[in-house]
Amino acid sequence: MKKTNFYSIPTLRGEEAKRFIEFDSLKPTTEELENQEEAKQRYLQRCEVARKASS
Amino acid sequence: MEDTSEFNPKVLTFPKISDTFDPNSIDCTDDDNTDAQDLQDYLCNHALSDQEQNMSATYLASYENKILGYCTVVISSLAFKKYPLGKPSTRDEITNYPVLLIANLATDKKNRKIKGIGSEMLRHCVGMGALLSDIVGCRYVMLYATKAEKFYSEKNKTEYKFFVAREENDGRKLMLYRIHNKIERHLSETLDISDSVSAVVKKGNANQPKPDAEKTSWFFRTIRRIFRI
Repeated sequence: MKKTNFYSIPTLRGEEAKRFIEFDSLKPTTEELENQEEAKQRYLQRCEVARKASS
Repeated sequence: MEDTSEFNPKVLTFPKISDTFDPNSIDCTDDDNTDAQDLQDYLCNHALSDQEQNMSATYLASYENKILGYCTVVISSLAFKKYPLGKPSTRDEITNYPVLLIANLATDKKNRKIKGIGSEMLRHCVGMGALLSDIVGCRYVMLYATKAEKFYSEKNKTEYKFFVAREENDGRKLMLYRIHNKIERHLSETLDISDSVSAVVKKGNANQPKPDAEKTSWFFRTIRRIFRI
């Protein structure tokens, strides 16, 4: 991705927006929620390890 | 890294880029040595200065004191037309959602045979997005995929399945991963309960007094006003 595209905001319209709105309203599965929670916990663990290493 | 069989992604750490890191120590160009996505160029020429100006943050994937790749993240936004098929009013025509943009995610060419580096970097970014959603609000993790679209969209490649929102003219695909908050989690757990429990809940609800919607409806209010009751 080129650096110039970092700060441009994409806008979804028409059929893209319709598909997006449908996707946005989907309920997550238990597995997806567990994976997301695991990602967050692992991120927090790494933060804690880094904090201890720096102190 | 010599032995790839013992790679444990959990041991990866993600320090931020600093001036002690030599960006030329890793090679993030494509397998044909081109840098079509400017991944190596960004690492060598912009990553540190952008970070110092709070324009982005670059994290190095470090394993046993070796750098295996990097990822750059930026706070961004996604806009969409709320009523794609109609136009109820001009005021709420465009809606914006807060997102965490994975601007770059690249693996060192020498270590691409090791499975799990990219997935772990992605997990790191999703974890960051999930945490951000608790702190400041973040609804999606967003990225633009070029050659690695399948990596993000196929569930067997990564635990985090991305949705292809659109394809750009240059072939890049705008991809989104939804962050869910705790309220939705609670609702989901409620929906997942067994049928017997659902039946009990329904029965319990049936015994509950109905909301006083009728009493406050326009019709009854008007009747009361006319007859002064």
